[in-house]
Amino acid sequence: MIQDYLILETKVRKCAAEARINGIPICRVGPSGPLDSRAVHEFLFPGRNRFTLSVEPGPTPSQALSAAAEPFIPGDKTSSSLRLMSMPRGAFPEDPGVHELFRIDWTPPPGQPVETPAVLERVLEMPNAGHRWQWLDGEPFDTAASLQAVTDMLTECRDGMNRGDPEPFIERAQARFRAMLAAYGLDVSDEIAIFREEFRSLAGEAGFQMQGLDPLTMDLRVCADEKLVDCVDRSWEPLLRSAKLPNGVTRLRYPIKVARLGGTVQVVL
Amino acid sequence: MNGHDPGSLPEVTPEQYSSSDNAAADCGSNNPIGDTVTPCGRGPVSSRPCDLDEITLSEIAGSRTAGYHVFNGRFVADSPTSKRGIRLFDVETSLPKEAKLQVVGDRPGAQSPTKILASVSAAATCGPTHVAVVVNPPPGQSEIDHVTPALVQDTFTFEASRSESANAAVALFERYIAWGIQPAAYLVSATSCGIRPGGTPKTRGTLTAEVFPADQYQLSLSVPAMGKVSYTRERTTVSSGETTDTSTAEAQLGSDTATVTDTTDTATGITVTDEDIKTVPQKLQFEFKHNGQSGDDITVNINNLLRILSSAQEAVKAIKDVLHEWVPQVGFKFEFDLSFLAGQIVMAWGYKEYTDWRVYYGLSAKFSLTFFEISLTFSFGIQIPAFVARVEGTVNDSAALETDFNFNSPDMLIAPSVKTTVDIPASVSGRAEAGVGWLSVSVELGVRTGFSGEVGLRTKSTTVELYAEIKWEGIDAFVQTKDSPNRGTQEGVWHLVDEKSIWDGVVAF
Repeated sequence: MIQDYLILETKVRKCAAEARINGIPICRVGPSGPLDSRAVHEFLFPGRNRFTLSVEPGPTPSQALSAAAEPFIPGDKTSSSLRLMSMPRGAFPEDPGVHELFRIDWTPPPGQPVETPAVLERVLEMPNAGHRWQWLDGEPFDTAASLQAVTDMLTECRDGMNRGDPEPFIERAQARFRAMLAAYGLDVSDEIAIFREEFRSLAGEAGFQMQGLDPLTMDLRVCADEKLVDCVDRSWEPLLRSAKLPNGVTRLRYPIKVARLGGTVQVVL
Repeated sequence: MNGHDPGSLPEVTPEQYSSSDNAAADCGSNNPIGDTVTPCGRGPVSSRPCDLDEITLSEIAGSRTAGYHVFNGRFVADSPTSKRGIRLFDVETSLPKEAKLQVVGDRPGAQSPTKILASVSAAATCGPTHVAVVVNPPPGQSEIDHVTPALVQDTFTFEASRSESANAAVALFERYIAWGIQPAAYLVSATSCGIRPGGTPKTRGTLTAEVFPADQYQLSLSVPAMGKVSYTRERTTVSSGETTDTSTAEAQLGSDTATVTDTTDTATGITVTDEDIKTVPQKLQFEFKHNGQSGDDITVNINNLLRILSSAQEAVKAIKDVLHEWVPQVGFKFEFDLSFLAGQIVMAWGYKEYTDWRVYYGLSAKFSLTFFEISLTFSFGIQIPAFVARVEGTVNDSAALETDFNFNSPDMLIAPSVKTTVDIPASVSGRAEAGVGWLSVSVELGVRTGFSGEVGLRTKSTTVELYAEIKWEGIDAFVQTKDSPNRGTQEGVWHLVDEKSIWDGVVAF
């Protein structure tokens, strides 16, 4: 496992925002969960990398970058920020050895209407970051049939998981396991074994079942120059997830992005 | 008892007089004439008639209450709207027909005691008769007997003192703001033993003079924000397991800038003006006046107030002790700015004489308080099976109380009541240590976190009280974790911080 990490931190206050790297949605934060901090090696390419902060994105994932009909009125201390840090393993932002590589801040004057989404970008030359990922050479999702293939894959994985069988998903996620080895040095066989064990453990819990796929709420989001599809629904939830329990908890989510590799839909991120 | 000359008057017994008897005119009385006479028992009964209608009882114009003068043998108010003359029986319909005279008075032994004047007109005594006036004071004082001489305008005065309060409450509000105190009652009775030819004299009448405490109070209180309190534990290496505690506490209760003007006590009522409320003060100032003089209890009350502020501060600080299962290797931070009762209170109160015969409890106040303002940030580590993470939280808002009231009439029910809801949610987030693990903390809408409660001003029996019920709701959060990018995201509800009462009760100082 590597010892130094590139951590992307997305923060908001009194607003919502979405972060992207090279056009790939990374996270969405909002008032109820105002911070996201994660390693992002698998989204980076050697060379130029584009980091985007979209404040007050549209109402659904596929409309995230559409202009809002009404301007947003920031409140007192409304703000959003995006920053990339190089951090030693186990560190927190203020610890020694942490380097901030860039930072974007959005601090609108309170009470002044703002056209949204407010999009701020930073391009960073990172010759040693990431890899030339396999999915960059995949086929684009440019037809209805290609998107239907995504739905079919999700149905296959979801049905298998609902039976307690994670193997269809594991089979479709081989490219991702390999990518994570390249990105973080995570051993493929170990990761698969732990994935299997974790899923079976959770699937054995009382009341566990997978959420059904509803065509009316699916919002497959094509991104990264049509090379990827973000598998989410209209409420920004991963399509592959367990059904919500009575206490409001969704025990398991699989936020995945898929690509067309060799004629089949593969989980790559 | 003042006697009269029994030898100069023949004794008589009750007699019958006809309704045609016109002797009343001789007495200058316009009252109807009856047919019985009752001896008073104080001596020989006069052979001449008398009548009690012309007995006037009034408060003497003193240092506190001016505006009465004698006119035609009666005390008459200077202003037509402020008549205070009270008679045993109504002889002038323009004056109020009441059986009580209410005044304010000092404790026994005061230098300028309140005096009540009893006036018996010459007409009432009608010749060589007399009217006996008896004053029954509250327990502990001597009865006063007075017999008027005949055919002269006669007056006599007696001192009237307020009752003593047995209130032993320690708190300022409860001790001094109380409008339920029982007045000292002076029962005044007049008896005529005279005989009126041709009719029945009024033989006996009574009224009560009630004496309320004359004390007037003023309070101005300026409380600044309490300042910042921070508590941090520096991060150390995991292997050593050692932590370093550094705590800093401040209560900024002093600076050079001062604050507030005195209250205004008008002649007709108790009023606090807008000028009495200034901006949020920079310095703690407490001024309490009793009849215009600084009170003796200032030190006690300041200490009580400081104790309240300190208690609130300690209660918030103690939230750090109810964090759940935090791990020291991630470090610890707990920092807050607190204001409790910051702002100004200006009050004036006391019994006042109204423009008629009544006494009322005047209470006037302005409250401009940031009752509770908190800016709290905290962070602490938690252990996820595959990594450690840090929970970070902020709470930032306030509950203010802005109100004023004036009870300046005996016809107003004293019932100040105003409240403000405290609803200050926490914003909570989380992050994993740098690595492949990921964590997110969110607080669902509708889940109680942060501070809640109610603050306000309310009436309690015969006083007012500031109260606060403020509670730290604790934090229950939805925590999502992922041990590596290959895994699924697991979610559960984590109880991160316990609930805790911050302040529950009366803010009495």
